[in-house]
Amino acid sequence: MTKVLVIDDDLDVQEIIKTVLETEDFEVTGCFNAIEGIRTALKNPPDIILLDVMMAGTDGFEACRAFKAKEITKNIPIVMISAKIEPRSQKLAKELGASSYITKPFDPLTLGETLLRVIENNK
Amino acid sequence: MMEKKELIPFEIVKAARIIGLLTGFIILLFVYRKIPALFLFGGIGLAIFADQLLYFSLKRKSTLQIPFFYVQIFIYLALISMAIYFAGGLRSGLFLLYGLLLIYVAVSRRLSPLVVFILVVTLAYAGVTLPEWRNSPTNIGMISQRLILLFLISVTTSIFSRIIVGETVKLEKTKEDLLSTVSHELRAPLTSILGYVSLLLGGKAGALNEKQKTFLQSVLQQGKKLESLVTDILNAARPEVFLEEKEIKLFDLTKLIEEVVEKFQPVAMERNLHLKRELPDNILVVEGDPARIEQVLINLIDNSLKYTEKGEVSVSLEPRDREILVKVSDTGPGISEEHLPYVFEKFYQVDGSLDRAKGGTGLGLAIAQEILMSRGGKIWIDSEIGKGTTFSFTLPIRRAGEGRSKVKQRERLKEGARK
Repeated sequence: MTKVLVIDDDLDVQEIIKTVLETEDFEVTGCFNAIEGIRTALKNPPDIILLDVMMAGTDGFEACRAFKAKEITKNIPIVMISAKIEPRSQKLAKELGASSYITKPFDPLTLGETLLRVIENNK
Repeated sequence: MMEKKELIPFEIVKAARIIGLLTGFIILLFVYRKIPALFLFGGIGLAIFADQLLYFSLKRKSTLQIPFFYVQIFIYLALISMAIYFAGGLRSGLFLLYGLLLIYVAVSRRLSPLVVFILVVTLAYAGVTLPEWRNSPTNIGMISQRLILLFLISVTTSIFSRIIVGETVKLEKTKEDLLSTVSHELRAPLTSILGYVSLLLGGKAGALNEKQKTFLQSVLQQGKKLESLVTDILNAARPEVFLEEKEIKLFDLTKLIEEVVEKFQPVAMERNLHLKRELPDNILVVEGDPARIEQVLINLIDNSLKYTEKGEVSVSLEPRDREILVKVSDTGPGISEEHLPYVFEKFYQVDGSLDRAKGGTGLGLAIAQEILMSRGGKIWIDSEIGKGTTFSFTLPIRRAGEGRSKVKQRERLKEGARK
């Protein structure tokens, strides 16, 4: 079982990701904000983190920075998933150490495949 | 990056440019009898040179904007001073031309360059009227009065233009922010809609019958169309977003075109059109962000397929000496001459409305043009009613050993010479 942590304040996105990934041998944990997400990841480190960018409070970029700064989480691959389609955001995500960037709307049916590939490349 | 917006609308500066040139020629008209031919031709040459420099200073990405502007202003200043000197110094009313120049500086620059410039004008005027005030204190009073008049005019203009420009910039900014927020906010519901529909179609919520599948396919397709409209709106609101190059690399244009054409084959088939390509066998390497060039191709091909009822759309590629020429031709209805100059304008639709049958925001071509121009390319249209339309664009080839900036500069020079 591959453990995925989804951090997104959109209930629908969580639901969609959970639905699709749970049919594909993933174990999905969802968090609605960055602080909660960081706490969860530190307690129970996942294999990969799916991270939204635009969230109230701490945003995805800050969360990404926090994950990369902590010993426990710094080697976990992070996939940003965001409605921000600007190349600038994608560049920033890359600079902050994110492994991949998915723009919304995304195709849920290929998500699992993408995650596995990112994990594979990260090894 | 294009974070810095131009403070003055392009049209106004363009008008100022023309007025400046005209003024220059009027001066020459006044003084041509009094000065040697060499000066006359030199003056005309300088004016044209200065104007060209001004043109470059307007090129959006130019880093040399400020020096060019000042060089231009000082050449004009020299011309005016020369004219005053030959037209009789203090007796001549030409000193008012200093006022025009000051106003020009006032509306296009900040207050501090203006103050410096006023000092320079004072010196210049004092210089050309030297013989008259050296021996006569009353003339000094007259000169001071005139300079104070010019000073007041230009400072007032500067303050007013600052207020007006400030408001315009604020308004523009609000409009852009609104559009970009709208574009981002629309993505959230679209993510839910398209996500759930994909899940249903992927059988993640149980089996579907054929009818349900067909209906959901339509929802998915229309949703995707909506997504691309939302992207277009974002692009229109913040052109820097799509002009930004995520990664600059060398890529094979032939292969890129092949791939894009392949992507459109199903669309062409659906519309009963023949989509063909005429590509050379060899590899054609271009430097840039392939995603941007792909966007240009997608916009052009999509446009041609949309407006062609029957026949074919063909994409051809032709390497030339220093550039690559790409053509997208169709056998559509053609565009009448009156519309041709406007097809690259934002939100322009040939039928004058958002055509519900065709869809689209009227942004595709405007976006394509901006992308190409920012890369030193060109795009143009040839069309004949009843025969079809051809969009052609060129992209410069970057040869090994040439620095990027050098290439850019030369391209700019070439473009300037053409204007």
